[in-house]
Amino acid sequence: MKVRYVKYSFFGTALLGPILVVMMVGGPLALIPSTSSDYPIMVSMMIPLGSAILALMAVIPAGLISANALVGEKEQRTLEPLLVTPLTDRQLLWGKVLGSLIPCVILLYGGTAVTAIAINVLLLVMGNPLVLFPDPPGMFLIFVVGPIVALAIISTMILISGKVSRVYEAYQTGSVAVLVLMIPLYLPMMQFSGSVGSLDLIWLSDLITFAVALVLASLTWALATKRFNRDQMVTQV
Amino acid sequence: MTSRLTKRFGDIVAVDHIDLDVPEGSIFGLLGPNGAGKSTTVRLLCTLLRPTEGEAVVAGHNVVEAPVEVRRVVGVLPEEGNHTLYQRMTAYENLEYFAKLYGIPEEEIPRRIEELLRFMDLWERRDDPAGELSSGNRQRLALCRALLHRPKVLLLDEPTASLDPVAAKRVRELILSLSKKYGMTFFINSHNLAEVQRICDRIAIIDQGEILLAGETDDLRSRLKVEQVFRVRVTNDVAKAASVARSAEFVREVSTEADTIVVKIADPSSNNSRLMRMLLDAGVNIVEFSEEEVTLEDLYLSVIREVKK
Repeated sequence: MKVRYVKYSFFGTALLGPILVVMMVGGPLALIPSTSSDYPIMVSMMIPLGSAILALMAVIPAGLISANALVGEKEQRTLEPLLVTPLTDRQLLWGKVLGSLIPCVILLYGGTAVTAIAINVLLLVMGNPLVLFPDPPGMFLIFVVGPIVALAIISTMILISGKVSRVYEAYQTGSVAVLVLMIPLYLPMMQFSGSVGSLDLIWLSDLITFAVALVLASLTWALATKRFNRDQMVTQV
Repeated sequence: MTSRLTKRFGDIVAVDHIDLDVPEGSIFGLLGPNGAGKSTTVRLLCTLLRPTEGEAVVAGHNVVEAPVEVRRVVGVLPEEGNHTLYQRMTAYENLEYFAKLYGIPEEEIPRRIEELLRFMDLWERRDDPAGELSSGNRQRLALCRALLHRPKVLLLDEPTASLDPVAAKRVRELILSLSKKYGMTFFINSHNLAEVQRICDRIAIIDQGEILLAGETDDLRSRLKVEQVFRVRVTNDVAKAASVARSAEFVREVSTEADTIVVKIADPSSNNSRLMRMLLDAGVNIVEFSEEEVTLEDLYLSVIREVKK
């Protein structure tokens, strides 16, 4: 995959999340008068949804960066010189993980800040009161669960990096881990069936997402570090 | 040094119990056709691959027991090394990045990069992206990268394979001058016989993962009973001389060039004097009897032929 495509995808996805959330959350909230009886319902529904979308969109680049970090180097043929440096396997893996995780976390946190400011500016302009975005469950989802999902995606990429030789193969396979973030996106929808109280269900879905992400990240990281070997990285080209 | 070094990929034996002894400071050439096991051997020596059997010791470090130490003392130019650079980074940035990975002290990095780039005549191109350099310049930059940490052993996998003749000559000259300047040990993979003949003082021939022959280049040329070409210049009947030569059972091929017959002889160490005697007995006036130098190509083909028999 050409580096410029990765760069475009990275910035495209980085921008898409905040734009989408500002339109989906800020738009309706700005258009409904705060005095309306629908306003609190909209706030309680749209803000958790916005947090889940933001987290989902922001961790996607983690897959893109990490797919390039190992398989990309293999594809560009720059991996071999890197593997013959005195770096240990652990140092190499940590380097690749941090190189993927740090931009992803910056994107996640930065995107959240930009989105929060943009939504509230929109509300102020339309004369509505400020809202807390993300709300506490959303903060937990974005600031705690998001980086863990990103780590799960990155370690899945490392795990499969010895088996694939093309970035798109790695990206398609490894990004499956991002589906974990579908839980907070869809589970709270059950509130409309009236079975569970909304805030409880949002916290519950966030905690389930946290638990699944933690298990997935731990499992894939343990397997990735255990199974990583230069032999396979070099021969599966 | 390797001892019964073996690498299998499933049922395929890429390197088959090879024993190599490369003295410190020598320029060693591993010759063989494509798929012979040369690149696998280099990858085993630089710890990229783990041996299935046997052992290899590089500059005193075992490749399995102390891989990090091995990587600290070897410099590697991978196959098509000119394609293994970060194309969007400048020549300087490529070297700076690897200097940091090799743990070269921060204050030492600029000095060492400048020294190498100047040595390779790349200093003026230091701010150019690697992707914009010519193949030859990229190959030299890849060599700089391999030399950054001042390795004791340099492993070069087909260092001139993708280069034009001028760039290839420049790389060969660099190898020789590096050998003189730093006294490092070179392990060169090549299927280019002429190249190995020019620069290596020891060679091994590998085919299908097995070492067929190993030793000092000059010694191997003289030790082997290969067919050798002799040029015999005569003052009288060239046709008669050719006819006499053809009648000998040890003569493989005869051709004539003006006043000279060109004769290919099997087992030359014992048969060249027999040929001379036969010609003299037949009344041929010989003014010159010279042997053509055995090239590595002759040697290589001879060894391969023997193995196939």
